[in-house]
Amino acid sequence: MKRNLNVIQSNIKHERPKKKQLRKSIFETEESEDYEISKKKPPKKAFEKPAENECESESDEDYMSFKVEEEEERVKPKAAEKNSIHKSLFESSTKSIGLRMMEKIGFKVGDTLGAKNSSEAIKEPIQLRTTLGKGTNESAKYTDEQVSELKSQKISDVKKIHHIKEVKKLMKLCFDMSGDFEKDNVEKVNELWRPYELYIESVEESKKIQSEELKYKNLNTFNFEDHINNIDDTRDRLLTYLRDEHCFCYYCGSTYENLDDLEKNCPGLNREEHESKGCNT
Amino acid sequence: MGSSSRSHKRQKVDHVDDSTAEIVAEQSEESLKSHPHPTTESSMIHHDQGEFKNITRHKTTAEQGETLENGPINPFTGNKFTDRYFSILKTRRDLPVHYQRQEFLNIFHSSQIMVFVGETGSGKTTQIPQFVLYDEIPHLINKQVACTQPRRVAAMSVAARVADELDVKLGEEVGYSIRFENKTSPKTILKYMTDGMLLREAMEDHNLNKYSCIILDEAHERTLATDILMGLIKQVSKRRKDLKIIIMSATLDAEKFQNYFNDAPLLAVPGRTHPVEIYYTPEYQKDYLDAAIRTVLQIHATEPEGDILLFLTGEEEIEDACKKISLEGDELVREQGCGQVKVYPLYGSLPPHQQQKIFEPAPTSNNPNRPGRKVVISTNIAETSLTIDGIVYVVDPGFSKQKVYNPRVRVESLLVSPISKASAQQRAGRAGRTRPGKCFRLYTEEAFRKELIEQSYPEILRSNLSSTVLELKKLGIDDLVHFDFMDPPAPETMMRALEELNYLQCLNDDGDLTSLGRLASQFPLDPILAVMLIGSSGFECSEEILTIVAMLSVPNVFVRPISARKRADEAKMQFAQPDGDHLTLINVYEAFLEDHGDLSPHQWCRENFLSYRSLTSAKNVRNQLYRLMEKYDLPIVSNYGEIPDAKYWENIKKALIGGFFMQVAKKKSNNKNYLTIKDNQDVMIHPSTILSKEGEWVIYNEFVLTSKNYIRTCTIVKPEWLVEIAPKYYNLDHFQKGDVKLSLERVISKVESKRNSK
Repeated sequence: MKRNLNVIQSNIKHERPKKKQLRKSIFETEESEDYEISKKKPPKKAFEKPAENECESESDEDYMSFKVEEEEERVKPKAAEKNSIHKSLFESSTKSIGLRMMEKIGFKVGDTLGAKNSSEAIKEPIQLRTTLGKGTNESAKYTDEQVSELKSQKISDVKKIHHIKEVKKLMKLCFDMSGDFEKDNVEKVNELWRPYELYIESVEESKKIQSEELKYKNLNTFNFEDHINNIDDTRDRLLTYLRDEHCFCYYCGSTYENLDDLEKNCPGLNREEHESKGCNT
Repeated sequence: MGSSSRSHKRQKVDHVDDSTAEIVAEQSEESLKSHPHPTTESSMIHHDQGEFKNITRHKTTAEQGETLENGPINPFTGNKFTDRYFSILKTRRDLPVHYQRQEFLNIFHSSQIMVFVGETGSGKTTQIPQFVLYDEIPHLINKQVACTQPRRVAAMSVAARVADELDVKLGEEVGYSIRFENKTSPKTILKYMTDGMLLREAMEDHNLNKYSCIILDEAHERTLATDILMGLIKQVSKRRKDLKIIIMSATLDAEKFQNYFNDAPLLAVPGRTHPVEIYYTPEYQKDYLDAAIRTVLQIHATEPEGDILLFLTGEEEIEDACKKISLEGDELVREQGCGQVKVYPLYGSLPPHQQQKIFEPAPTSNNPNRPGRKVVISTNIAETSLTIDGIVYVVDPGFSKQKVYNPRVRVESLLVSPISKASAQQRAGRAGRTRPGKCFRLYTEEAFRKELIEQSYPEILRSNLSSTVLELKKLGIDDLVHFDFMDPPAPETMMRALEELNYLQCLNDDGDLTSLGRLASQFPLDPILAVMLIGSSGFECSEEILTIVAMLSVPNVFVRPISARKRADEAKMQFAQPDGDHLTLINVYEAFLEDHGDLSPHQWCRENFLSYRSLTSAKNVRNQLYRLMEKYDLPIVSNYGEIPDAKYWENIKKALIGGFFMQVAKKKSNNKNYLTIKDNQDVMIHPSTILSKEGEWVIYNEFVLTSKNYIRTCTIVKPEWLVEIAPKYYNLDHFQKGDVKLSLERVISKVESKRNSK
């Protein structure tokens, strides 16, 4: 069945380019670059038969089960709003008249409503999800550990991006200062900053490509990270090279007269040393 | 005047004055007490020529009922049955429930409460109440049988159908009662009604004494009113042992109902179902609408004969998909020789005659390998409450539009969100009505298993409860906290409702109903609107507020077709009252009532991009509300033309504040956005507004949460009015520090110094 539908799918696809004009008129309002690209994606509309009979939804897995995904953070509302949505009204400093009325008829904060204080009754207002199948769940309630895990994950993600950018800049510096930019063969470029040369080549390459779509793809395919084994180590080695060979400190942003001058006036190799002592230039 | 409201007044003498609405309400209660209206309640009239004399109530058999049904005389009217009756009777005898009539009666006789499960199409909604009639014989004991429906349209159409089946005139022996429309008479023995209407009746008659049997239909939908009714009826059943209760559900999860009603016996009618094969997409679909359209076209191009049902979330989406599928379908006909496609939309606000179109047969085709096909694109309506024959393929993107209320920020929003597993099963089941079918789910199997919740959240967990709390109070239920809810709502939601009702002065500080609360509960309106209407005479603009409330109670009157947006916007501007969308509604309504010369009202509406249906129903609602005001001795005062124009509009705005004082937003100092008062939500004024200038302070009718937070239907007001009209709410002790509080402090000191200088 699956195969059958796939064939059909490609049938329809096959016919489409001819009718581009007409399609445009139908979808005029939402025709966009994104749409163009998404149309070219491999057919995604094949259906699978379930592995087993799903009708008996036997699994009692928690649908809110937690998954870390980058997209999580992006869709979150502003901090203030988030707080008011996640903070129970019972935690408010002024006591609501409504709560007072409820207490008069025997309610205590922490109870549920209903004839019997049942565990099935909800304690907090429900919130609806808006996505399905993305694995993200905006409204899931996270435990404290999960929240801190998410936070530290996020922080380390940001740090990593920052570090990679820094390494890229350092590589460019080394590439320029070492004179390697004049070399015509990639193999001749110092291994330490060779990824930068590769990156430049990939940019050059993609400029030659006319098609918007391919360019988009190509730019996305070059990933600095893939070419660096250990970010910290690479950075230190690049910094050391600049200091030893060019008397240059990246964080001071200046070239010293000689190694002695550097030793004396530069607080040290790394950013932390510059931040704690303050750079004197 | 009740003692509770007297103590309430005493307590507040040195604190806050009563609101205008509370004063008006007290006067009207006083007036009704001293000059009560004559009761118009007429007793029941019924036909009795001894047709039922050989039958013992609650001991009948299916055979006895059928013999009476076979005629030739209609036992309820004494008239001869028509030919049409007999032809309908033949089809009725074919319905699945017919075969279990005796079984039904056995359980009905042996138990006060029973649960009945039957899929749509089993005939339960039309047949069970008739089985009951022949056994209850309610008219002989001066009682009626009630059958509730969650939807107005269903109550009307089912009543019409059953009137035909019983060979009586609609509105006589069989009638219906829905909000703002009552089609019953003293002859009525079977009454279809919305669940909300039965709840209203219960407020007046706590024991529901009019009825000998109550049938709650479509209980699986778990509407707010049905849930409250279930809690109520459970109580009533203990006080009234003679009352019979049937809970009817279309889905098989009846156990919950049985448990709730002390293990009530169950009767299930097997549905006529065929196996349905289920397919999932192998990966996540980013754009479910696009995926749905492509899937429908694929089915059309490749699958054998059978109609398609696609579930989408709302009117706009459905109309959009209809257009696209029709166009692309035509293309398939031309380019690939496929059969014809006919696409029909189906959603609640669609005019009934257009809803009927979905029952038209699929277009025929000469080539059996290229079948013609009907495609129905529907909201949840087609999930349980409607059966369309011929559907073999179901396309289920897994979403529906759901209302959800968050008490923490006091926002009710309509969100497109994933359905439940139960819903997904129900949708799939639609494909197996006529023969084995297929269901295409536009999500992965993993998403189905891991992400969909088991059951949809009942409405009571997703709603603002102010109306409900007011109703429960009026129903005489004082212990709201321990009320036997089938699914108890969140405590915070109830707290918010009590708090709001206290600010509206419908409940005093002890939680007792005030005169205003008692009166407001009589109106089938949100308490905010009811309070505003009751207080309107105090601002000398009852007629105007009647119009606004009526216009806010019907679907949007402004029509804005995608093809003519600009012209529609221009047309709207003719009616604009520059500083208020609420005020503009008055202009629209009055223009609608004017003489349009050669144009029929219908044509006039079309030319002005207004909805004729909405406006006529606004007129009807307004009349009903007018009569209610008269019934409760509420003064109807209006000043049009007697005072200067500016003052006239100012009064209306003040009256609006009387209800909407909790729905206020203030412009932020640094940008165009607004901030809602107290809840501090960042909002923008909805682009549909007619407001041409920016008001510092606006009241709004609703908060719409889409990609952005919008407030819709806004009117500019002066902050002085807010603190004057609703001093309790604008007690600054309850405000967070910030721009809003600072501004209000200035306003209050200005107001006070003015008052002192006087």
